[in-house]
Amino acid sequence: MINLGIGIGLRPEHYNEIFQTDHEIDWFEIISENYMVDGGKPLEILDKILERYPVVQHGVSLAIGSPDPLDFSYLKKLKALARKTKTPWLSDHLSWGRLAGAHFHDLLPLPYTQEVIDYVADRARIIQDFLEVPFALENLSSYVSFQSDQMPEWEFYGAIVEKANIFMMLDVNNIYVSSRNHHFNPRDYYENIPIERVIQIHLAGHTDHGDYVLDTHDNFVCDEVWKIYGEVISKTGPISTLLEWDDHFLPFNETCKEALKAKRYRQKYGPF
Amino acid sequence: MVHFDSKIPSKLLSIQQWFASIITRPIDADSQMQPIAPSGRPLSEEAMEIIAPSLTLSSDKRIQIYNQQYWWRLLSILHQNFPLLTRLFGYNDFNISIGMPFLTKHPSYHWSISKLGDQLPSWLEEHYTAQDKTLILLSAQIDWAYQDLFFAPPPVNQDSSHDLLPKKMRLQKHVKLFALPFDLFSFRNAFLRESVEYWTESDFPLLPKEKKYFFLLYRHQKNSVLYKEIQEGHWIFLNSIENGSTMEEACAHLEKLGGSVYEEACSFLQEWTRECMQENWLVLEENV
Repeated sequence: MINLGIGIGLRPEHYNEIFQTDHEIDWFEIISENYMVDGGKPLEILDKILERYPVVQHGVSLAIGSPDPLDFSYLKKLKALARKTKTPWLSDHLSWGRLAGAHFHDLLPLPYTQEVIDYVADRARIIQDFLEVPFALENLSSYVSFQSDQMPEWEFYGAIVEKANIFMMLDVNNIYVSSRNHHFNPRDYYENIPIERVIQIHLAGHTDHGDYVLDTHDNFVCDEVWKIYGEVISKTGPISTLLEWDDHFLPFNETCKEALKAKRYRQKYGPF
Repeated sequence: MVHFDSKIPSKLLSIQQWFASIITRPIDADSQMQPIAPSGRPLSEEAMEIIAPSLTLSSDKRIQIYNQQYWWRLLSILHQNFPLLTRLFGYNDFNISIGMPFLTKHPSYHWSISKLGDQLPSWLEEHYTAQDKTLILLSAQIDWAYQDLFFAPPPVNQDSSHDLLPKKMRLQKHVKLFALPFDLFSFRNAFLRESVEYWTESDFPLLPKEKKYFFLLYRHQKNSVLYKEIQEGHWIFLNSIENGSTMEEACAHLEKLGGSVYEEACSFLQEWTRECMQENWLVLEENV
């Protein structure tokens, strides 16, 4: 799969700075839903970005593991945006967040069972066929595990992407956050997933509350997460990497600087 | 009638129904979860049957994280989308008096979180009973209008070379009219210059109310949402058109009203119509 280099998430807080600044960012990721709108500033900026950079779509509202039927009116809008952006792949989360029509606007975890693997994989296959672009699911940061779990997360995640023949949008910060919340060794995670299916990597910061760690995207990437990143890319080879930053924003240049630290790790663990 | 995916595993569905019933229940003033489950059992006991404890957190404390996140996220979206309303109340009062009761009654039914507050003005109209209702309701309507116009479709290009006078027209979707008993737009601007916390400690800005105020809120060509105070006659003219009159009929309506409004129209009508066409505020009904 194509390696786009180092990217950052396109956020309204940076709209004014992006075109006034010299930077070495290779590509941008957009939250799909923020651009599935009728008009206005977001689409104006997206058009300008598309003139100069590759754009990859990342969604938050698919709710693939929800009990509700797949929402094809949503998928049609998503597909129309994918045609516009020419996204080389498209991702959302391995989660649920919708029930009986109500949206919780959160990435809620699923129980790790064989019947959930079958259910989600079927839906993932349908979604990828419908969208006609490679489709990837992202691992979550999670704060609960279920009494009914039959396997560790990495086995569940790997089984779904293999069964559905889709891809992994591997968030290495989420591996770290979940490893702290569920007390596992991050190495067990990335050594036991079908690494050849990783299409993109997310990096982000989090907040340590002592008893648990929260995925907040409002902080610098910590050393432990950079280390996981290095070890993962030593297995994947050169791969599109993206920094997510969603709160307590830094100026655009400083955000770029944090993302471009990834180059150091690509040298050290590659080199590539 | 609720329809689920025919292939949903029943055990997964029952976990999801329980999970949703817990995380959407209001948290208390200290952001703590309600200790009794909807079933009437202690939540600490019920949660253990579904959620495994971790080495550091009990089952109920683990799901409490999702309960808190649900409310904090949705309330913060309302704070962003209703900046004047939030400043009028302060975070705490807004959450307790407006945000939580509204979201309990109107959970999100749209995949886009940006639509979260679309029913807040009508909810206030129905449920808010305090003496300042007019101010609160209009503040909510204006806050929401900014949000609505920000994402509205781009204007339809209107060819103004034809005789538009006998044709039915409409305001474009990026334009809204307001007739107010006070100058809520400059009041809002003054409020938005400072943070929510600032206004909980400071005197509110002056609310100008010497006359009736007429405004047009619109998205500018550069996609910023701006307001413009307009003359009463201009507002009546545009409002008539929005309500189905042709330009000719709107002019006749102004003439029938007579008085200063009609005199104003005689002097400025040409300017008003030119501005409307230049700024692309009107569109032929057949092109809507």
